[in-house]
Amino acid sequence: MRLIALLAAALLAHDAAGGLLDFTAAELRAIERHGPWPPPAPRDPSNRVSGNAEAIAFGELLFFDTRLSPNGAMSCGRCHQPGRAWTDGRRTPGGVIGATGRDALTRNTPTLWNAGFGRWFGWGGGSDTIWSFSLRPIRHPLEMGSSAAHVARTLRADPELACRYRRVFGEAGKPDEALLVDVVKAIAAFVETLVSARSPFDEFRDALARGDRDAAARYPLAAQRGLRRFVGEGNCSVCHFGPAFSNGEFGDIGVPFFVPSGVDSGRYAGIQRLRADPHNLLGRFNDRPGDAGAARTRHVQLQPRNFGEFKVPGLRNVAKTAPYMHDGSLATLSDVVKHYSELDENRLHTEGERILRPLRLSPQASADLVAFLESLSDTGRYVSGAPSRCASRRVQ
Amino acid sequence: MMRRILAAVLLAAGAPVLACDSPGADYARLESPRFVLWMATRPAPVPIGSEFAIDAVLCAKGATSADAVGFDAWMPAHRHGMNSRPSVRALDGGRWRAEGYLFHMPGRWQFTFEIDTASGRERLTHDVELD
Repeated sequence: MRLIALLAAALLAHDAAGGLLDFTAAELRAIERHGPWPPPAPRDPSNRVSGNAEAIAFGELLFFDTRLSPNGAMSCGRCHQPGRAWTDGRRTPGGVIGATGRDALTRNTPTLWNAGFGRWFGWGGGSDTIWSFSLRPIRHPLEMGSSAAHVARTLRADPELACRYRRVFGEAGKPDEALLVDVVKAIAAFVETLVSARSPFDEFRDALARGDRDAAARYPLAAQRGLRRFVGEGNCSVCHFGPAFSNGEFGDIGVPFFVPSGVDSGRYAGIQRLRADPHNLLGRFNDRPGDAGAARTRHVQLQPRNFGEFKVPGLRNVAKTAPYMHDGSLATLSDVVKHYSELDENRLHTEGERILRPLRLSPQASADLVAFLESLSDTGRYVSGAPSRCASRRVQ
Repeated sequence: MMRRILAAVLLAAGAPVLACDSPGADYARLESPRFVLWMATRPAPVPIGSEFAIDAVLCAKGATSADAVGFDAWMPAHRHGMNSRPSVRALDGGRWRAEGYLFHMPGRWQFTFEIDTASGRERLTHDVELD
């Protein structure tokens, strides 16, 4: 009995002073897979201005320019706000755009952090590039409600925008639709630059990888315990895989998909939308149609199980992107952990070994998982590229 | 669709009986009662979360001819397959390339090859553990 008390006291002292859990070799391998970070900057072969500095600066201006919407009130940046980790901080964007009831948009505004590393875009993956996805909110009547004609007219009429367009794409005399595609490609070039900075988890992961136990021991024990559950019995890293903490695909995690107008079938409708989209990678707007990247769109298959599946979001900066899930129905990270802890297995359609099981977590274990998720936040903040004016510049 | 594409090519080739020598050191050998199939992934090892292809060579042990071969993969434990459907094209030297594979999570995956003949179907499999 005395020995147990001594051991308990020693453990408590160890916890308070920090330390390093005795991770198994398998756990260490699993942890190492979540890095290194950041990876090389993402590039989109289908977008000829991806990575182009002038295009990025132009795209940043366009992203925040409310004149692209006919009522002059909406821009990409109204919902993807830099100060809110590129979300609107709302369950769904109704409060931002003023639409409610059956007309409301029913999906949560996703963060744009690390979007450039994705394969599919939108909660249902209805687009295969950032640029083609960007066309949807620009045209959607409940979002920007704009058109190719309006965007082209705005761009041609404004000396600054026209100058920047010319520097990136050449003369703006092309058809409105082609000009709009150029505009979203510039916006996409900007969005690709939104790569989150390193987090406390990255310092821990790298310290483990180089065998620096002292540096690794600076990572809080609660986060270490949460991480152990994340890569272990929680099975979280099966889908939240790799450096971005997402396998880029879709899953059904038991979040209801009923919406006022019926059901949101998620990935099922997303694949249908993707295939019908003339701006997908198989279409004429792909700047490098022979590139291997288009293969994903050619090979994607529509399956019954896609019904009710939604995008597996990346988890970097997740503590800053509340509320959560495709419908924004969970307000906090604690709510998310509770969802997995009390998962309704009957709600999930699976035929074999379940990847997801209710974790039945203790309060301490739940807090540990939250501590780990919070450790994925960086301390950086968005700083505008503050591009100098183009129209007044002398072109050589 | 994939199976029809390959079937057409096989029939045009007359479903020859090929020597079953290894096409290369990186090929794995799969065998059923009447067929041998060699396969190698491109790239190797199989990446998680990004597309890859396989090169395959099919040969019959005797006079049996294959009418069609289906290329696929799944996770037996989870009983789900891929989110993509590979497409197949002929390479030189009797090889085939199947593109569009994507294993979207770690764990045990199984490549499957279903060979249809006039007298029935044979199934060859190859397991890989992605860690």
